[in-house]
Amino acid sequence: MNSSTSSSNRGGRHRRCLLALGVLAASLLLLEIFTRTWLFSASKDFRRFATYDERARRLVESDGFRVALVGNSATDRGVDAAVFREALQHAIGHSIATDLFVADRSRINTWHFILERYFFSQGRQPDLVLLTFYENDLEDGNPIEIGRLAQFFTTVRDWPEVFRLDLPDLNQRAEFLLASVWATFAARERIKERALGALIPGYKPFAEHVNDVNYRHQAAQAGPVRSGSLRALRRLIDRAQQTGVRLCFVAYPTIPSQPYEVNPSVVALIRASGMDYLDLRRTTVLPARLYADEVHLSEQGRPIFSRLLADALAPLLARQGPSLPRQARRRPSTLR
Amino acid sequence: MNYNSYSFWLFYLAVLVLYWRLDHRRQNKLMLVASYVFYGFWDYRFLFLILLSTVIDFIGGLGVAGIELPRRRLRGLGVFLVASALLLCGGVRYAELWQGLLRLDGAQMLSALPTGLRDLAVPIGTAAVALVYGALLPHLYRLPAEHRRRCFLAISMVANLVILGFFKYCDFFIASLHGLLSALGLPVSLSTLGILLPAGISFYTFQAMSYTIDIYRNEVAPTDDFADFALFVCFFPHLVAGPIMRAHTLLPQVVQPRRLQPGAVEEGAVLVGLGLFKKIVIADNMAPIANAVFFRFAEGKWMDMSGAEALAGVYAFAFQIYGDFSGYSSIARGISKWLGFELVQNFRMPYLATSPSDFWRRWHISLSSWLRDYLYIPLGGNRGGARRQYRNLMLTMLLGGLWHGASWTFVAWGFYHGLLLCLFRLFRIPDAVSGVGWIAGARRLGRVVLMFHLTCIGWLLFRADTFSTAWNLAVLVLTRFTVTPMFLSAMATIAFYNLVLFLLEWALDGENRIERLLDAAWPVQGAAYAYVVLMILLFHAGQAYEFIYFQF
Repeated sequence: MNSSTSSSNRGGRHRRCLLALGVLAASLLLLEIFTRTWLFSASKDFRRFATYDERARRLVESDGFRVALVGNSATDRGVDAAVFREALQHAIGHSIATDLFVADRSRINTWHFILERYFFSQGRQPDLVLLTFYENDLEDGNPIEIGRLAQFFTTVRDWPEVFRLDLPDLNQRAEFLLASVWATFAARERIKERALGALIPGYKPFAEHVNDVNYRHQAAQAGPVRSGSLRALRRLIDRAQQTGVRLCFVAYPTIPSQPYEVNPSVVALIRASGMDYLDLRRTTVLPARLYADEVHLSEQGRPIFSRLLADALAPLLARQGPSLPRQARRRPSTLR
Repeated sequence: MNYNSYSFWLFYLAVLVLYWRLDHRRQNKLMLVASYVFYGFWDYRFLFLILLSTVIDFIGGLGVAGIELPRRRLRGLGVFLVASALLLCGGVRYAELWQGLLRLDGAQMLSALPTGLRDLAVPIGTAAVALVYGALLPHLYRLPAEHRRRCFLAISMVANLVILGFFKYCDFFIASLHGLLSALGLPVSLSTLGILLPAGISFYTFQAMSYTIDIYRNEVAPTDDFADFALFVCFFPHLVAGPIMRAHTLLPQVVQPRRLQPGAVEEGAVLVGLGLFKKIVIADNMAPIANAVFFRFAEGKWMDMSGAEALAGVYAFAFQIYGDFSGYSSIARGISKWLGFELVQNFRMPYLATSPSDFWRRWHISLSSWLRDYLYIPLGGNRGGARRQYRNLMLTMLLGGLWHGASWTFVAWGFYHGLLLCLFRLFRIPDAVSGVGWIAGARRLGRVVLMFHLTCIGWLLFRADTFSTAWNLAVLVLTRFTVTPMFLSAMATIAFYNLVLFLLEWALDGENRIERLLDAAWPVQGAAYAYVVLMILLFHAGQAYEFIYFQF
C-alpha cells in the first residue's frame, strides 16, 4: 500500500515537474520571439547594426574618395560624418563619400570582424578605413562584448578564427556559442538595462555612478591591460593588405587632464606595415569644456573634432594618395 | 574553476556521466582524481598541502585508534608523499617540459627540470620529515594506549595547525609584530614573506582535524583505506568553501556503496538552481553596489556621500555575502546529491534570526557547530559559572573571526559577535519571541529587524579593509543620514533582487522543505522555475566575482 502510494506520488510529482518544465520552455521561447521581433527593432544599436551591410555596399559604390570610419562610442559621439566629409572635401578638393561603422565598447577584435563581414569578405574596398582608438584598444586582452560579436558581426565561417585568436578561454567560447544561436542570451545585457530602467526610478544614473566607481577602482588597481600581444592588430593589418584596403589608425584625444600613452610597439607595427597613424591625443583645440566625460566629446566638441580629423588626414592623403588632386596637398590648419 | 563557470559544468558533466557507469570502488577513485584535478585548477602546487594533511591524518587517525600500519604501507605512503612533493613542488616547469616533448628537444626538456637546491627544498624537507616520522612511528606504536592516543592526536593537531598557521597567518603576524614594534619606537626591519593563500585551506584543515578528534573521542571508527580517506578530505563539491563535513556524516557515504535516492535528481536541480540564482543574480549584482561604497571609503572620496547611501552599501554587502556563500553551499549540496552524497545544510535564512545565538544556528552552520563541538565545549561551554561562559564565548568567537581571515578586522568581527552573544545572555534576552497574534508578530518582526542591523554592523567590520573605514562609515551613517535619489535607487535595486528570493526561501523554509516546491501544482512550479532561470539568464551581472569564502 505504502509502496504503491509513494510510487504514485512519485509519478504525480514527475508529471507535474515535466509540465512545469514545459512552462519554463514556453517562457524561454516567448522571450526569444520577443527579443527577435521587438527588442531588435526597438534598440537603436541593433537597428543600426542591421543597416551596416547595405551601408557598406552603398559606400563602396559611391563616387569619390570613400572613407569608412570604424570605432566605438568615442567615434560615434566624436565624429559628425557630414562635417567631416565637408571639411575633408574642402581640404583635398575632391569628392568624398563617408560612413560610420561603430559599436559601443568595441575594440580591435570587434573592428576586425566588422570590416571582415561588411567589407573584406564581400570584396568591398573602401579607399580608406579610419580606425579611431583610445589607450590600449589595439592591444590583445581587452574584454570583448561577446553577445554582439556572436549575433551581428560573425558568421559560422568565422568561428574557428574567433576561437583561435579572440576567445581563448573555454568560458568565453561557450558564451559565444550560446549567443550565436540564442538572441535572448546575446542581448541579455540590454534586456537587463531596459527592465531595470523601467522598474527602478533613477536606475540609469545610479548604475552609471556605481559602474564608474567600480571601473575607476579596478583600473587604478590593475592599470590598463598591457598584454604586450598584438595578434589581433597584426591580423587586421594582414587582412587589409591582402585585400588592398588602406588603414589609418587615429589616437583619439581625451580630456587634457587625463592623458594616456600608446604602446610604442603598436605604433611601430602600424608604421612597419605601411599603414597610417595619426596622433591626435594632445590637440589644443579641444579644451576640457568640450568633453561630456573623460573620453566622449560633447555636442559642441563634435564638429570641432570632425574638422580636426579631416585637417589631420588631408596631408596624409596628399602625401600618399596617388589619385588625389594637387590641391589636396595644402598645409592643414591644426595638425601637430 | 568556479561553480558559476561553464568550464566547471563541462567538467562536472564529464565526471557525472562516467561516475554512474562505474562500481563503487571505481567511483571513489574517479571522484578522488576529479577532486584533485578540480583543486589543481587553482594552483596545482597546493595539492601537496592537501596530500600532506591527508597522509598525516590518515596515519594519525589509525594511530589514535591503536591500528598499526604495516611497514610496507608506511614506506609506500612516504614514497608517495616525497614523489608528490617532487612532482608538485619540485620546480619542474611543465609548460617548458611539454614543449620539449613535443619538439623532442632534449636540451629544452632538461632545462625544464629542477636546477638547484632551492627547487628541491620541499621534496628534500618532505623526505627528511618522512624519514624522521617513519623512524618515530614504531616507538609511538609501542607507547601505552592512552599516551599513544594523545601523541597521535597531538601530532595531527600540530601538523594541521602549523600548515594553516604558516600559510594563512604567518604574514599577518609578521606585519602585526612589525607594526607593534614600530609603535613602541623599536624600528626593526621585518618583511612579510608574500605567502600565497591556498584556496579552502581553512575548510579542509578543520575537516581533517575533526576526523582525528572524533576518533580520539571514540565517536568514529577510522578507515584503513587511504583512497577513501583521501576522498573524505578532498571531496570536490565542498572542498574549497564547505560545508565542513564531519567524519561520522561523510566518511560512511564514502566507504559504503551509494545509489541515487528517489527524488535526488529533482531536489539536486532545485538546490543547484537556487544556488546559481543566489550567486549569479544576488551576490554578483550586490557586489558592485557594496564595492562602490567601500571603494570610495578606501580611496578617501566619501566626503560627498550621504549616510543613507553608505548604509545601502552595507545592506548590499549583507545580501552579497549571503548570496555568495549560501549559493556556494546550495550548489555543493545539489551536485553532491546527483553523485549520491548528502551534505549538511549550511544556512537556514539567517537574516530572520531573532538573537545572536539564533543567527549562529542559521549562518554557516557547519562552522558554528564545529566551533561549538571542538572549541567551546572543550573550553568548558556553559559550565563553571557565567564568567567562564562569557570567556569561552569570547574565545570561541575571536578564533572564529580569525578563522575567516588573517586581519584584525576579522578578529574584531569575531569579538563583536562574541560580545553580542554575551550581552544577550547577560540581559537574559530570550532567543525566540513567544506567543501568537499580531502583537507577538510585530515583536518578532522588530527583533528580526534589530538582529539584521546588528549583523550589518558586524558585516561593516568584516568588509572594511581597515578600522578607519569602518569607523568613518559608521559615523557617516549616524551623522549625515540624508535620503537621496541615489539611496532610493540603491534600495529599490536591492529589493528587486532579493525580495522574491526571500519569499521563495520562506516558502521552502530555507532548504528544509524543498518537497513543497516539488509537490506544488505545476503552474506554481513552472512560475518558480521560469523566474529563477530567467533571472539567471537575464540578470546576470556583467562581471562574475569569485566566491568570497574561497579566500578563507
